[in-house]
Amino acid sequence: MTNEIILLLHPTFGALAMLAAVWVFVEALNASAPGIERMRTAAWISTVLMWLSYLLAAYFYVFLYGPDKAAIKEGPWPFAHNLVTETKEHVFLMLILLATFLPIATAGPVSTNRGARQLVLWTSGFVVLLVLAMEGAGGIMSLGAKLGYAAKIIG
Amino acid sequence: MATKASDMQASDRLVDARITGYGMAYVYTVLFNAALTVVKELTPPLLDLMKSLGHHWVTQGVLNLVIFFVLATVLARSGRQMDGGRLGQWIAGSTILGGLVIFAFYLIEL
Repeated sequence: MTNEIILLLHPTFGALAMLAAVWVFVEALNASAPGIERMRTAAWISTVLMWLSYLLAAYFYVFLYGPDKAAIKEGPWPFAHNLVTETKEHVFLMLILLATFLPIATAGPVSTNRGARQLVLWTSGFVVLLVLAMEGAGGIMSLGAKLGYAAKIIG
Repeated sequence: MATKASDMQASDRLVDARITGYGMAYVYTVLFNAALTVVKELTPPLLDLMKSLGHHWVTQGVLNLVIFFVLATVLARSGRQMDGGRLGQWIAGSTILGGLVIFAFYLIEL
């Protein structure tokens, strides 16, 4: 049960981190002095949630994923590991760096400096896009594992 | 007069050296991450070395973080400032390129 909770918390924290990044994006779109502190708070929330998601993913991937990996590779959707998992895990290493950079990007004078504002828009926008890609990849992995275990049961 | 106006406009787009340093450190580290992903899979001794230090993915993640923070510190100290919009484009471009390299590599390896 604990392992399943860890597995569910990983995409949950990721989705919440994405929502916080959307918040950052919207605050930057309407950059004004009162909104700057809200934007910086949202950026830190996004980063902390992303790190929680990352640490849970690391624990799951290193210690618990083995049986699922075997089921996927022996099942009807081996690409769910060989392509999707492999890509996801290595792109996640980029995402955690981008999420770490987000609060730094928001430290500039976003309400008065057009360049600083554009930087925050690019950064938060790509955090959102990468999380969406991660969530989609996680769904394919999950289906790959289900099909793999189902194939084992059916024989 | 026109030059002064364009200079003012340019300086209004610059972000400070710390933000520039961390942003460019991200760009370089992401490209390193993509290159290491391909090279380690094609070079079994390197993969074995990374596995000997722990799970190879964890080793790569730690290596990325070390490179990111070291590069960021060095680049921030250089004092270079960049147009924030241009830095954002570098970040977007390196993210797309890094992601495509990794995806294409595993697609070819299928």
